[in-house]
Amino acid sequence: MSTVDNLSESDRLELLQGTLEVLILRSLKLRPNHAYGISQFLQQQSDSEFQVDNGSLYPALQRLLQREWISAQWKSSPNGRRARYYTLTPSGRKQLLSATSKWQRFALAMAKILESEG
Amino acid sequence: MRPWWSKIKRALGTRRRLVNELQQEIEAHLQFLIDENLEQGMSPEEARIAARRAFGNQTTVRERSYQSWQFPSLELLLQDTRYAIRGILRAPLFSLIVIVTLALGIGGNAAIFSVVNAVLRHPAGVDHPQQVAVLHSYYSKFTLDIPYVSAPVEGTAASLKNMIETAALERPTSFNLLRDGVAEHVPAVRVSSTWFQVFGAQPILGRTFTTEEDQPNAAPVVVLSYGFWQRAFGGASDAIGQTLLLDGRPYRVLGVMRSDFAWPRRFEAWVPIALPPSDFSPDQFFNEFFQAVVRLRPGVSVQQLNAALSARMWGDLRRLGGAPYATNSGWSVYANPLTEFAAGSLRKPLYVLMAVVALVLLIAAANVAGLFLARSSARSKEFAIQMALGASTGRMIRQILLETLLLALVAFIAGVAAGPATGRLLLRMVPNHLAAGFTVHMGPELIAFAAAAAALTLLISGFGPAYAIVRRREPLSLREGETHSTASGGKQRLRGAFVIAEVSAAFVLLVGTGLFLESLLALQRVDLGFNPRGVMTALVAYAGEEFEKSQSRQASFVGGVVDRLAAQPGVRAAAAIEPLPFDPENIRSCSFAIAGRPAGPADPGPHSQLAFTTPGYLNVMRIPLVAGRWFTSMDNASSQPVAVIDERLAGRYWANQSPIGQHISFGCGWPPQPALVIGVVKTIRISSLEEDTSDGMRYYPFAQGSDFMATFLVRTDGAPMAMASTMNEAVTLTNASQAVASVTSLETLVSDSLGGRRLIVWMLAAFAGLALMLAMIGIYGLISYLTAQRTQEVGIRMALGAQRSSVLRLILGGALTRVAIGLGIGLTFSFVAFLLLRHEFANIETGSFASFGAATIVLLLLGALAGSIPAARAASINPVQALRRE
Repeated sequence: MSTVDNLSESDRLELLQGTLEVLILRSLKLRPNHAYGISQFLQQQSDSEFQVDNGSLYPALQRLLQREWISAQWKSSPNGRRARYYTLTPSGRKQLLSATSKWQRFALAMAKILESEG
Repeated sequence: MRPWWSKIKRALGTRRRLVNELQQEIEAHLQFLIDENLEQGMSPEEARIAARRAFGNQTTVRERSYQSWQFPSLELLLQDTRYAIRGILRAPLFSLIVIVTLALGIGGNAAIFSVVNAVLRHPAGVDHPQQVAVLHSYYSKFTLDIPYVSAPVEGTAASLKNMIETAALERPTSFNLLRDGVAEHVPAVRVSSTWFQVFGAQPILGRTFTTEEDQPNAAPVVVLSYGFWQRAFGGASDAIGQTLLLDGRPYRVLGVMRSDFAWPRRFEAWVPIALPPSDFSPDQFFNEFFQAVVRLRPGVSVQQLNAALSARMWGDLRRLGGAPYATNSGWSVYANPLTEFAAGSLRKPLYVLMAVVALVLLIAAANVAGLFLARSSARSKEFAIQMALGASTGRMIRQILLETLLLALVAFIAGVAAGPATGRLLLRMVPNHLAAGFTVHMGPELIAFAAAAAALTLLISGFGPAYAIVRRREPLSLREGETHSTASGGKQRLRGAFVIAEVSAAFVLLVGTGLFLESLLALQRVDLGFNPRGVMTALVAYAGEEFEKSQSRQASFVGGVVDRLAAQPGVRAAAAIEPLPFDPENIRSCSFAIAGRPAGPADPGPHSQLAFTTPGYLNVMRIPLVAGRWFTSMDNASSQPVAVIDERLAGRYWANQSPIGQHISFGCGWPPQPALVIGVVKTIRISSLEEDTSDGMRYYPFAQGSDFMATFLVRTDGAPMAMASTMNEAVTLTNASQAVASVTSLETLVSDSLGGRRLIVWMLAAFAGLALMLAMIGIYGLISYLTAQRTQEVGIRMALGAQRSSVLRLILGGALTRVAIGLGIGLTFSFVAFLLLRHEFANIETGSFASFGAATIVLLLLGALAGSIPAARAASINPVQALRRE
């Protein structure tokens, strides 16, 4: 049930537990966006490595709303369509900062081990 | 907290909005995809289909989003609750039985707890009762333990300022209130000004008295009880400042206490005790004329106080010179909590009853568990359908627990509602002198307790069926008519265990009933040494101080009333005595001296109870004279002072000689004018059937003594209470300013002394009956179910040539095996309980053998009866039909 099935099953990258929410926060860092925009952003920024499943995206948005890390308003998009725009809240921004540093350390540590010799 | 709160907020109010919003958002999302597809040149139709495909499963998106709002579990719960209610209503009889059983268990517990709470924890009208303690004197040498102390002892206790907030003294008195020419008796007490502070009691009107008003020559003032205020002033608030003529003296009314304040009990007026300093002098150390109460400082325990009391008392005694006497008489002072003191002889019975109702609760829970198990067998097809439709084990257990919960909830409400009412009824069954001063009411503690009881039953009774479902690993069969040739193992074993538990608990209750009943019967047969049947008693407290102090006035009044009574038709004999045997609050004893046997200064000397009486006493009481003579009307103020002793005293101090002709002093701090011992009478029980508390008795004639009250006795052939008006008449005709204070039959007084024990017997009998009934239902239900399950098996057996009698034996054996196991367990528990209770309740071993035997027989018989109906049904099975059903 992924968005676009143009990658074969084995090549697709599964999102790790808990990563989607951080990525959503990151996608909202520069400007508010709607669900479709977020999924596009994630796909483009990852060079289509990540396929965001709506069945995961929407519940994740709901969870973020409940934690009040993001807020939502209905607005008109540049092409005149009304859409629900999500905005990062101050506490969401804080959460993004800490999560970013955590994930960076995690990725670095992973890389160190995987690339180590012997 | 925040996310949780927002979840609730969403869940409660905004669900519809959220659903709409999500739907709109999904549609907006689709629109973006459609726009994109149109740009790529698709036809509108194609674009929409492609967008939908690209979006994925909308239902999944929606449902997963809902889940993050926590709706599903709430919704499921609601759904399950609706389903549970339907399940309950579908089997109304079953549900009713469950509710009634649980309500009996919970209600019984709530009732007893409400009484325990009122009696043992919260005596009415006392603030923080656990901080209040009562001082007692104990003479180990005389085995004398009295809730009275002397004024100097109270003074010493009060000096422990770091432990005691306030201390107060009390001494009963009595007034005759003269209103419209009619004398009315007012039971009153003299108390220290600090009395009310000790109990933390506030007046609802006016104030209590001050230290200045509590001085020997202060103007007389009085604080009224609520009841007295209502009676005398009709509840008028201008009563404050008015005067009441008590014993001819004008007392200014200072205040009115709240209706629930009744310490000491059954008294209606408080006046200052106004003790002169001489009462606190060291030579008064061993004259226990007062009740003393103290309020402990917060955090100080009674044990700590007792340790400090003992140290301080002995310090004072050594300094003041009373130590040798204290050592020789084994004297000590101790405090016990007011809650314990106030509960008196109700305390132990209440603990027993608490244990009993707990047992009943367990039986009820086990029974309901058994019922549920039986029902779950009957509903196995329903469960199978649910499971086939995808219900998880967890959800099914929740479903069953919900049903149990709802039933328990109804039972809980019924139990809590009925509890205090039943508790009040229970207190009414208790003799008045035990129950006075306690009010049973609903409170958060009661509700919490009942809720705990309900939760316990819920756990026990819901556990069984839930366990049965968890155990059922094999797929459930839906096939119509499916039966197993033999009953399935685990579940029936569990049901059997519940039946066994019920039987053993019922056994314990039965044995308990037997033990207490036997002990009660034995106690009722105890030889009192007198015959209380047909004796009516009436207490008169002399009105007027000049009356109290005038020996001749008292003598002529007592003599006059007795003569008048004796002349009445229907009166066999009349007399006066003080104190009256079995009057719960009136026992007098003191040390005395025997002429010619000088005691050392530290020797406590002989000690005994004593009473004033009149020549007719032996005839009224039917107490036999053993030696010498009894009093006659010739023994009066102008003749030789005389005394009669009882056999116990004679045996103790004149073991090898005749006491007649000896001289004894009165003691009790009275002038040491010796009296001549002129006779010996039989020993009687003076206060209790349970134990012989008398350490010997001295009788003195009223005509030679002085007291502040007298109890008149009349022996009649008819109903004793019919003499009440005769009694009133005799008193008022002899002296119009005197009034009868209380009228009872002697038999009632004797019987009331067993009130606590009788309460246990009644309650135990009721609960044991209930337990038996429940156990029988349990056995019957289990055996009939098992029998139904084994229909084919029995059919096969009979087809193969088994006799009906052997089938009967087979089924009945199943029932009796469980009863026997239950009996074994019950026997062990009963025996432990018996060993524990033996030291707490006199005479309990009287009927031990009979009780254990009878309980065994009753349970075996009832077990056989409960099992025989299904057994007979099994024995009448037609093998052909039974096998055809397979």
